[in-house]
Amino acid sequence: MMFERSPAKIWRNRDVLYRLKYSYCRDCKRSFYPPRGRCIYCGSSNIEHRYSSGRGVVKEFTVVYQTPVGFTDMSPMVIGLIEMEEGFRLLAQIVDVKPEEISNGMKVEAVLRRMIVDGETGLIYYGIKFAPLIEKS
Amino acid sequence: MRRKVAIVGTGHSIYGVRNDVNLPELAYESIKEAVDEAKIGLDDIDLVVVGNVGGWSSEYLPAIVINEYADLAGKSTFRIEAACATGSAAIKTAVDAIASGEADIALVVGVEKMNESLTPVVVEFIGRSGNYFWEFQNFGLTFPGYYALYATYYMFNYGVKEEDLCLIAVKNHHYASMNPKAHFQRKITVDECMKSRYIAWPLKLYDSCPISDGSASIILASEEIATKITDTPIWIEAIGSASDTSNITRRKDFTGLYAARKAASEAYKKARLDPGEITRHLDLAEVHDCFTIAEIMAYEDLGFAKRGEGVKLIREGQTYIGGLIPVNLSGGLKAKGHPIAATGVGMAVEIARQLWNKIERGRQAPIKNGRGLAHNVGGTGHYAYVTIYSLTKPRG
Ligand SMILES: [Zn+2]
Repeated sequence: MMFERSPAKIWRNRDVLYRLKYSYCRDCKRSFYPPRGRCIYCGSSNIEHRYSSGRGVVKEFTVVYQTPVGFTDMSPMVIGLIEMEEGFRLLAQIVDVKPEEISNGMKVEAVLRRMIVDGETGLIYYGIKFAPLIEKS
Repeated sequence: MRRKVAIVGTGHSIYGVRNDVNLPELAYESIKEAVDEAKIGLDDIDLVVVGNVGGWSSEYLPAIVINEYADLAGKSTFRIEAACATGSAAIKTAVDAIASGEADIALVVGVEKMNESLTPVVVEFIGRSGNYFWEFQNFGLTFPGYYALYATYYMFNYGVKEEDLCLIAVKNHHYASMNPKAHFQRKITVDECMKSRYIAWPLKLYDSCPISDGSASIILASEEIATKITDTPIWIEAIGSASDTSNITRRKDFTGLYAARKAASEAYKKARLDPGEITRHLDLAEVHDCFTIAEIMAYEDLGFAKRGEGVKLIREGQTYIGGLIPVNLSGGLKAKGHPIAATGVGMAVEIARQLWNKIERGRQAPIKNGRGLAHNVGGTGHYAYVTIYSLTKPRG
């Protein structure tokens, strides 16, 4: 009983999954993710869809050792609660850094990475993870 | 005009890995015990409320199967689900039916058979109850991971240490070792707990409840009938219930569970108990310790301790018998076990038997106020129920 990750569902959500498309409410001026047609805060349909800069900071994190099916070779896997520059928050994997080097408040940026491989001959799913932000001088 | 409702019979199966029975057989173990204790006939029952989450067992549509096995065919029946708070939701449904006059005697059975699925499936299924984000991206956070986010918050902000979390596990194993119905029958030490492997840092294997099979049942009756059946009905004094966003990223902070605080405040108001002095009204509490951090948060959400000070209660041993308020004398979810839908009903059974002074030596609370509290949470605070059980008939 693995939960379906159908290509159709992923294709439908491609901008959300790979480009971090989010919603901005013109009435209450708040942002949220994933995007939808009505504001999750005030119910307004005066919504604008925008794309995130991909930059944020780590607010909380945990290190998952007992990983779910499909993620077993990624253990231990750091999952962080990330607050994006645009104000919305999301949960995502943090990569390219050792768990002991992560701290709350650390700056991170979105990177496209392999998420799950569905068995030896199955589909490879990609998605957004976060890596420490490299400041360009 | 709401009628008063009371427990008149209780039943509790052995919790654990129960590959020896199927779902209806497991349910019947506690049904039979509850019906016998209430000294009623099956014909007297008007309503059977079945609490079951399912998904991992062989019975996807359990109510009718259980009723058939228990010779209850013909009764009004249905299945109730509210994730890990299913048991309490089932109790509330039956209480409301009796209070409204729609039923006089109801059987509530909570049953779960989780060990028929592999652990990863169970973990993924419970994880799904955690967050609607799954629709968009399976990024690999597990159910223990959600509670781990709360645990790290408590570590960074309130000085909670991993050793403190282990103290909860040690206490609950201590009491489970005296409970013949508990999944774990063995005491553990802080050292053993600290050496157990990480599941989701900072939570370790010994911080986590097991995957259990089990069932629990209660017979509820209206005031008129309850007082005829027994001299000591256990009154449902109040039920508070609430929910919260399923999207963890929308939670304002990680200081406890909003739904639990809201449910507690509603229950205290209905029962006319002073929230500032709540431990003085109670003899014991059964709280939802699916992970050790959850018990510390429960102390605060229920008002046993101020925010950030819940950890002091366990450091000082205040939640053992003889302390401020004994908590989880059954062993809790952590050590008695957590057969999802049975849990809330199992809490009711434990509290009723505590109030009746019918508990094994070593884990019987002294009963002075005649009142106990059950705190049952679904998901990571997505659902919460706080139920007050009392030997004294509620006023009004
Ligand atoms: Zn808005």
